[in-house]
Amino acid sequence: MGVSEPDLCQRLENFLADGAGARAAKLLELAPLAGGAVQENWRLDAELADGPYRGRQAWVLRATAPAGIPNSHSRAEEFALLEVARAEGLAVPKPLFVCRDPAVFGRDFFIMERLAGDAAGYRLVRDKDLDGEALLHRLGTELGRMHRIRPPRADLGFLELPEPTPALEAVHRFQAQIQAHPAPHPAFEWGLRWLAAHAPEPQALVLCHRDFRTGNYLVAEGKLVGLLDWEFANWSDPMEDVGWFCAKCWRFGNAREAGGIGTRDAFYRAYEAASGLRIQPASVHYWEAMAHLRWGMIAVQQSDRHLGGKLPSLELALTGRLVAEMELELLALIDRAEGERG
Amino acid sequence: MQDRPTAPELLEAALAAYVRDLLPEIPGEKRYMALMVANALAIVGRDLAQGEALLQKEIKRLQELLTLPSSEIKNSDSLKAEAETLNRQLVAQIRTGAFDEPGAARDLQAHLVATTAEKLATSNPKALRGKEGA
Repeated sequence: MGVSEPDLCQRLENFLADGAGARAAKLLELAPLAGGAVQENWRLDAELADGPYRGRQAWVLRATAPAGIPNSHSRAEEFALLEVARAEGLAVPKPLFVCRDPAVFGRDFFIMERLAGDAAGYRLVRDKDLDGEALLHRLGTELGRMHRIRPPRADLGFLELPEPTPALEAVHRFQAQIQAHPAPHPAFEWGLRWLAAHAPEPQALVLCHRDFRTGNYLVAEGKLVGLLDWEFANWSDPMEDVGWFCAKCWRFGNAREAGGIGTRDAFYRAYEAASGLRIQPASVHYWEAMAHLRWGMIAVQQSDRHLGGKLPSLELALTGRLVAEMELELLALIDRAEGERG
Repeated sequence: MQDRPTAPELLEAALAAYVRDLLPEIPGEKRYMALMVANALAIVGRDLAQGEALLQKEIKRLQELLTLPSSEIKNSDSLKAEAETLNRQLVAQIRTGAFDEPGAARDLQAHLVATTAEKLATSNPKALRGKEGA
């Protein structure tokens, strides 16, 4: 797929011209961007003849992947989330036009501005020049401000309140998934048993990104540029995002506990100041355990996508062998929590 | 009976040649894929070398945990089938709360940590470094 396909090219140009209020649009480049096993991101450059977007534009086309994983929002919903985040002053790429007509691109997509910067987690945690504490201050502040967005919101009416609590809803969802899976997973079963017995009450329900972690934000010259991948956002326990961000599986092999780039302290202080909420260490610990279970369950699904022939891929196949790493950390977190309980 | 090299020996030779002679020649944009191929072959090599012995250990622990009589299984297909059956029984008992009491929970936890460590000894030994005694 690309600008070489005349029909697709024409359909996209019509859509872009229409969205941008221009007489005509010319597609200059359409090429896949790295990353995004769940969604497809395309680098899109276009030239608009006139209107508010006159001239050459650097955009991203974000489409639903052919074999997506469940529990993620539609592109139209993700577009609405970006609009809300943008209106609240969060650092996100500006959402531009959404397309619900599959005749244009074969599936739903939206167009957003393309921000400069690098999101690759493994590069970021190895960057010796990076001021991790300063970046964590920004990230903690952004997350804190995001968590000031509270239900009910008419513009986020498609989000659902967790029942009975965010933690228990997650437990029930994973129990259903694991029970439906053909292979036995005793470590995850035990993890779920523990998570069901120790589920915390949230101090508030807030807009959680639910994939807020190193690898999902853009950094340019050490500075935060934009928070990406809003497809899992929902009302939840604010400590879910904090735990997900600090979880060992998102440190990319680095020992630094906050996203592999710095100290929890820097992240926590900025977060508390911006959110008006308190960090609850036991709750964060709980959500870190949940994070490894969730990642592990995603790894099982990814591996199944390969094994089932839906999307043959060595990368997805190898993801199946990552499951044990998630199990080991889940068990270690349970062990530590039990040790502290005495 | 097949002539030597054995399957593990042949795999080892192929992997060594691949890593030493081919990998350095692979251009940047294909390098990630090339490293994944090397990783997958290395996992298969470790699985061939230690997979059965590790499965025997897991089965022995499962029989103790489920208070079943121990039995020795030699055939590798029946080893896998036996481990799967026992793991299903373990899962069923976890769900009914059979391991909720602190003593039983500790035994289960120890078994699961050992099993996970064994899986990683094959899939990603690096992930086990610094984990001894954890």
